[in-house]
Amino acid sequence: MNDGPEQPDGGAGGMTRAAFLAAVAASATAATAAALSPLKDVLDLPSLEEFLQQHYKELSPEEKKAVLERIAKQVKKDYGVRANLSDPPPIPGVEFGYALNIGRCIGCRKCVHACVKENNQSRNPELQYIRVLKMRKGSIDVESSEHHYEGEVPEAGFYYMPVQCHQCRKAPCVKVCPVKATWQEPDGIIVVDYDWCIGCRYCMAACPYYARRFNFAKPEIPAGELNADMAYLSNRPRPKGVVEKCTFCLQRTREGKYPACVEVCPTGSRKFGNLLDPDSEVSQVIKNKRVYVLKEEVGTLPRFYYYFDL
Amino acid sequence: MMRELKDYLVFVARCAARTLDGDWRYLLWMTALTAAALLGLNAYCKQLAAGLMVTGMSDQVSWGLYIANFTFLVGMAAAAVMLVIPVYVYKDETLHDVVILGELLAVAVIVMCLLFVTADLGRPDRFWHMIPFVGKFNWPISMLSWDVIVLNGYLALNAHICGYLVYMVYLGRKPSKLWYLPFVFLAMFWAISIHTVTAFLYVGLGGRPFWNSAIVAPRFLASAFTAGPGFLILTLQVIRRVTDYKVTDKALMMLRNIVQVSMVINVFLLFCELFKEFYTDSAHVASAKYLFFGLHGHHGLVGWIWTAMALDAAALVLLMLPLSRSLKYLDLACLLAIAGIWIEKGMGLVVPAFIPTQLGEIVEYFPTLNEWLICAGIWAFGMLLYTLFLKMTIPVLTGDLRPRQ
Amino acid sequence: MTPVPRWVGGACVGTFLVLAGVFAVDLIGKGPGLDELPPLKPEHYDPATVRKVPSAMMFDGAPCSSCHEGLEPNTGNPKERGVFHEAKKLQHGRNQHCFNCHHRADPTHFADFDGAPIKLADVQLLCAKCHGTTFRDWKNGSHGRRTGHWDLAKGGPRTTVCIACHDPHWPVFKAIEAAPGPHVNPRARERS
Repeated sequence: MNDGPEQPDGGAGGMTRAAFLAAVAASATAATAAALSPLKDVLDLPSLEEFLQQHYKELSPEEKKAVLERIAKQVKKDYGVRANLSDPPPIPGVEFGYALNIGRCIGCRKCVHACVKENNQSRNPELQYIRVLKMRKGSIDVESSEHHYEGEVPEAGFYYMPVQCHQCRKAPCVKVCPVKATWQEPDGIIVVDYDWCIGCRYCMAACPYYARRFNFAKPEIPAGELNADMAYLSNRPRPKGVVEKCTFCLQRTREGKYPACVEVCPTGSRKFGNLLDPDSEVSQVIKNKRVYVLKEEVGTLPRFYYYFDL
Repeated sequence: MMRELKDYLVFVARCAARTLDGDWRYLLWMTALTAAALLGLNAYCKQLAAGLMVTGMSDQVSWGLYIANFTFLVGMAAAAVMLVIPVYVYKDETLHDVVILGELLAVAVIVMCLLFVTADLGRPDRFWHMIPFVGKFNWPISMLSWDVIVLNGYLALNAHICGYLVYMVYLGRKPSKLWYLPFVFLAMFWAISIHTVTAFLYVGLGGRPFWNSAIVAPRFLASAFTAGPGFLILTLQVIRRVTDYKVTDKALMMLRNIVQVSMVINVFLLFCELFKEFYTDSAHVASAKYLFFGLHGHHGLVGWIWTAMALDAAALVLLMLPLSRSLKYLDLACLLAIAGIWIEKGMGLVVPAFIPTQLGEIVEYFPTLNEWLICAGIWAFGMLLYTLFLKMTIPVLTGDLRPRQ
Repeated sequence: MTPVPRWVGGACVGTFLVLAGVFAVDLIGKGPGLDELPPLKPEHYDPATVRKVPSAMMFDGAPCSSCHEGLEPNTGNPKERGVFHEAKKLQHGRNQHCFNCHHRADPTHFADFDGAPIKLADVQLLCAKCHGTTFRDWKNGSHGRRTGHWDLAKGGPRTTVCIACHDPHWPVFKAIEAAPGPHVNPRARERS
């Protein structure tokens, strides 16, 4: 800065620097304020306790209880439903596995919609964990599959291959998360702490099975359709901007029930159970059937097996 | 101690005051950048309110322009090392006077990188989850956690080196080697590491064959060492035109050599990648096919990539010809190379890996206006920062700004 | 400091004021919104089995015994004889004879190889006559529908008998309407 006195006037065609700076500062401030105006539409700003909430694994039992109560209160407020919100722990001695009989699946997509209903997925924008691929018989090349088939199924010459989270033993999605917001539970289920995920979507890039979904907008579920039996790590309503995925319906399966997709499958193509129990359905399938895993070459060791009868 | 702190603050304040001065070109330039940055801010506020649904991204193509720009800019930042190495390793003084301008650029560009990552986050309010010891940092397993460390580390290193050296020039003191040489050498390795880590971000994903290729990191470095010094060639000419700072033609020609060699390597590595993809012609070629020729009737990126190829080729030819010893043609070559590499690394590397999806579905990616505005806003903000840095430091470097006696 | 030409001042201030106006009335907008989507229909997630299993042997809503009680053992092919059974479509592969399954002497039961009756409640034993490997799979859970609990400690699964899914006269599944497919994201569509 030249430390001489301010020049009083810049002459006929000019204004003083001070006057200019003042005018620019004022107009730029006005423009900035106006630029920030869309922030008035931010309706889901986290409360202070939400903002400061610790990672799921760091929560003490009391803190966890308080968090569950807060979420239940929020559900009551948003959906008018008294949520039966719990946090069921993994069952010792249980490792879940899934087997799907591609020789029996008829591609009716009931699993897709039962899953949406059970797990309180957003209806609009639409979010589904299961994708059913219509494949030409004899081909296992997913690139030639049809995702948007409609009308009557099954169609001759085709088979149907539903794909959902494979709950990989060497899960690339878990590895890449920069904040440990997703991890593998002792029963093999890979979960997401929706209150910890920062929404970077690196896990979506890492997943070889297209199993993860992102909440691009605030999820929308009709109040009357909300499933009130919910768990912290699975089907409680999700906030905007976080990733979610299939959890084998842990709110059901950790209570001993079958996942919703198994329950609904009209052809009995879906098999679920404890891999550590040699008599369970999945163990029997693996022992006796022709079993393969999708994209074996990627080497993520899925707990999801496809099989067929001879 | 207090006295030194006060002196330092006076130095910063006097430098900052220089940013208010300037002729009409400066004022219009700054106004234009501020206006563009505000457009970006406005668009980002809309994204905050509505969520990432205002972008063209989807579950199928979950990364887009933000990450593409981020990748390109990490390279620009790393390129500062190409000025440092000749000066500090080979004791070649040609580039001595412009090293600091390169490092200032690195600082501004890293800020842009961090902004692009933030723009891409679904929950920017949870940024603190990424702070080591405060949040829950997945280090050393997640490549993204490495990226957070190396980027912020690089920012700190360069900010320190620039700040310290400029302050010493201001005081008229000889800088103490202990206070900057170790940092300069550390920053040299660090620069390579930021772009390598960013490449590993992609390379480490077995489920994305298009990225899962060991050549990505060398390709990134080669393209970065083309685009970065190329950008500096353009900037330095602007600087010497509008300020009293001396930038010699010799320095520009040395940068030309760097750009030239890097461009040759870049095109060669690109050729290697393309050969592998298309000659093998395995199922994994789908993304590359989509990128270059379209797949099953979808051609969203074909125009982009052939534009990039044409720009790259034109830049390469120009750079190889003696013609580009003339600044006019050199500038043209740099512009072409920067644009070509921006496309090649962004729309050409980030997006096609998502198409077709892991399950063979083809969903294309079309950036929205809102997304473009946010990108333009971040670029404008970065340029604004760089201009401010230059405005603050050049008077010191030219000896115009000295402590008051 | 140097003065600023008036037009420069005007241009700078003007730019910001225009920008403020553009933001205030939101001239730019934010691009594509959401499509209207039809609501989820209950039939798309209804867990009912494909068929209902009757608790007694019935034909057209009437128990078999209402006609066949006390009659002599049936002879010949019922489809060629009665006015009742001739319309029955049989599409069970090479198994084309009523009495391969139904008991000739006692129509309320099925027949085993040795002529011993098989109760309706044990229909899987009838199917097992031919489909031995499937029966084995059904017993260990790799074939057939199971609902309820995977966990035996919580009560275990409810198994579903063969004829709850397969029409015994036409065991291949008939085509049904698929539930709606994935919605194409409006953001992923090309905008002109």
